[in-house]
Amino acid sequence: MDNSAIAMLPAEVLCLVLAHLDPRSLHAAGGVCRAWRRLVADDRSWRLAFERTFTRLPFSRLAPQRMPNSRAADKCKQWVDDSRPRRSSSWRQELTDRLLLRRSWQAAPQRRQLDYGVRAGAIDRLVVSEKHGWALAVSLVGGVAVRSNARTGKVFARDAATKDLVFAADPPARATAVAARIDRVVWGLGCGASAATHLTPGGGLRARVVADVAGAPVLAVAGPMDALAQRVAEWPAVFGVAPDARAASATADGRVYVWCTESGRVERELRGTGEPLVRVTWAAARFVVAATPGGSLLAWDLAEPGDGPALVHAAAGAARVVLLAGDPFGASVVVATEAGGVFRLDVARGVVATTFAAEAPGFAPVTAAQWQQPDARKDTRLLVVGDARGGVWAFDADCAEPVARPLVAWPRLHRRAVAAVCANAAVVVAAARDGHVAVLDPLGGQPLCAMRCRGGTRRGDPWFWSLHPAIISDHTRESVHLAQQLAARSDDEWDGQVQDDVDTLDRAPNGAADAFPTLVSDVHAGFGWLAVANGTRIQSCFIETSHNPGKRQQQRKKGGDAHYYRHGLKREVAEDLASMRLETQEDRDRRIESHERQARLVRSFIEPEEQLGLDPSEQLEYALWLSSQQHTPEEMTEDEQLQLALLLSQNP
Amino acid sequence: MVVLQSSDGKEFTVDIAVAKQSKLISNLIEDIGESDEAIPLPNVAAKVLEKVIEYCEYHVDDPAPIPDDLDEIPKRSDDIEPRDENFMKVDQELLFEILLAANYMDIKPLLELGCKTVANMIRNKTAQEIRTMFNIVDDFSPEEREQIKKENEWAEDH
Repeated sequence: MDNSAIAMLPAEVLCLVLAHLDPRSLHAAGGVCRAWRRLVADDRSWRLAFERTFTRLPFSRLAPQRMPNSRAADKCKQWVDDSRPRRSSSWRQELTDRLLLRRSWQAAPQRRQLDYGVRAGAIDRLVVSEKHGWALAVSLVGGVAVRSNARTGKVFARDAATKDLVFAADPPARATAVAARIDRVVWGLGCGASAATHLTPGGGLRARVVADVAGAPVLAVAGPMDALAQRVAEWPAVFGVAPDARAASATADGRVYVWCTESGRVERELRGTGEPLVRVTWAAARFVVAATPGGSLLAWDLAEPGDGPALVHAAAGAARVVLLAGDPFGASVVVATEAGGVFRLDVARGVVATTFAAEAPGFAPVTAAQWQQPDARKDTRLLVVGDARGGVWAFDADCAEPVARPLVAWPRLHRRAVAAVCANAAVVVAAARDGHVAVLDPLGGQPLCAMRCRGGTRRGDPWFWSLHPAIISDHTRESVHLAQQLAARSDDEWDGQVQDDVDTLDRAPNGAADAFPTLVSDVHAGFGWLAVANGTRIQSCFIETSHNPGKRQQQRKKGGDAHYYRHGLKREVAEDLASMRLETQEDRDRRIESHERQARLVRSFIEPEEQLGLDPSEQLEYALWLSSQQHTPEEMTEDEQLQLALLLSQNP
Repeated sequence: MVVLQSSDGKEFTVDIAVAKQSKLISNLIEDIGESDEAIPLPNVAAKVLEKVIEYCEYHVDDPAPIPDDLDEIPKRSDDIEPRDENFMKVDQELLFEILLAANYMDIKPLLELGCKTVANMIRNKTAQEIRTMFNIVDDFSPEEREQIKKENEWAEDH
């Protein structure tokens, strides 16, 4: 290195240089000479590179299974749904893992999408476990839970032992509430009883236990807490047996029953204020928290004797509580109200600990909220909130400040109300009412991939414009900005429209999923997959890192895709028909009517391209996006081809 | 006005506002007050000091840098102004000397600019290309080389 000019730079300056490098170049720099290798080995360079790449340090360290580069079959096995991710040992590892993950989400040709009907009726809950290889779809209307292979979509064989798990299809015992975990489904029934169904990992056996409490209809259930929470020291003091066997049911006459899902025995009967209880949850395994329609929150401390509530809190005001999520690790609960407020209530002290506030002008009414999936480590956990205007916000759920600002904000991610959100250490998934699903990187804020649940062909698709342009075009900061400008162009009109739409959706009898079976009701995501309950179907998406795409390409050459597409559609229609048999005539009429109403609403809103005021480059992007869709030119009508050609010709 | 003296004895007379962009000089002036005596910069040669002053004169009107903030998005390295880019089009030796001078005289924006320039030279190059560019001797043992190859496999895969 004697005659090398760069050798004159001291290590501190060279470090500053390395801090500007992307990971790949850093790797290369580490292979230059010993002196450089020592510098690159310093994890601080990687931490800087991490911040530069993702703009933000992780709220909880990722460390998923290393992405396999080998065969596809091994891959499936290795995408284990590891609910306790190991902490990565270094920033270098963390960066590498996240980059691999991000890259594979973005690599469109290697995504595999799956769309299958499960004949469960409108799906209310969806739980997927890669470990077991199941997707469990639960329907209130049908009173059915269906297990299917998460990778192929095949519903498990319908022999006597493993047929669809039907619980309460008949009117007298109509299911009214449901909570699902991968090994257990807890039902609330119209007759006031609650039921639990156990599924065993082996796949064959099932056991059903009914906690028979004569009384008012169950309006909400809190399923057994996740086994992760067993670590909480307070559990054994409160319960004699395993904590993940306790469920709570809240009834219309204002009572909460705590019962055992193993024996069906009711262990505690808790008395409220007499008002119906519409939401219920656990907090720290010791408190049961419930909400009334009037917006009061009631909490019982199970460590105390007596059946009266330990706490009655009116923090929610008169607003309807749309979500109640208990913290498995601490005595607090996150409350989201219809009026747009989201706050964390400290149950032990009875005060609002933190208010989660987005920047002005604030939330539209909250339509979806979820904690980051349980994680054994008590790092920063995300609280993800979606609103009626299609905005999604991620907060530090454990924020100690009285007012928490969003860690990341996607103010106009979707153009319809957000129907479901999901977050883990790697991604945030937000699904809009219209079936558009966006996978986001919570550290950099970028959209990683977009998926559209099928609700019809493109030609007749009234939801065509609802996808945020940022996802269509580049994944850059600039394009997000551009998209925001686009979305902001006719704000008033837009908000009015969305508001109307949401109103209709939310006030529909029996809840949105029931009235709009083609719309998204639940999402579930792991590190390498996501699954969306889309009415009566599940659409899932897996990322693959295979470097052997030969087989897929061959299929495409033969025109296999178009073939499959047509047949897939046919099958889908058949399955839709089959699923309808589970509905009553009345339900069906209502569903069809609301579909029509919805379609009318949307049709009136669609604007032709010129009126959207796109400039030529935006039109080009639109055209490119059109052409990148699954549809081959043969499937386009003449009109569409003409339109596309016009758009393209304007942008040589 | 203030007089700066390079290591080889050459004196430069510059405006105080220009000179004060260097934290080193700014602190000096605050400590000892303004004087007509030349400030010696024993680590900076005349041709380097000339470039540094050229930079400071051009950037004298720049707004004060925003103080470091936790939420601040890390600066990107590909946003160099064309004029600065041209300014940095010098031979490697002078470039590194400017970097050293910026570090010594504590001129943050210039140091940042220099680092970005060098980083841009390194970016998207293989280790061998970097070695060739900077004339660095590969001093790894065969075992180390094997180890590096293994570590970098993931990067080549994608």
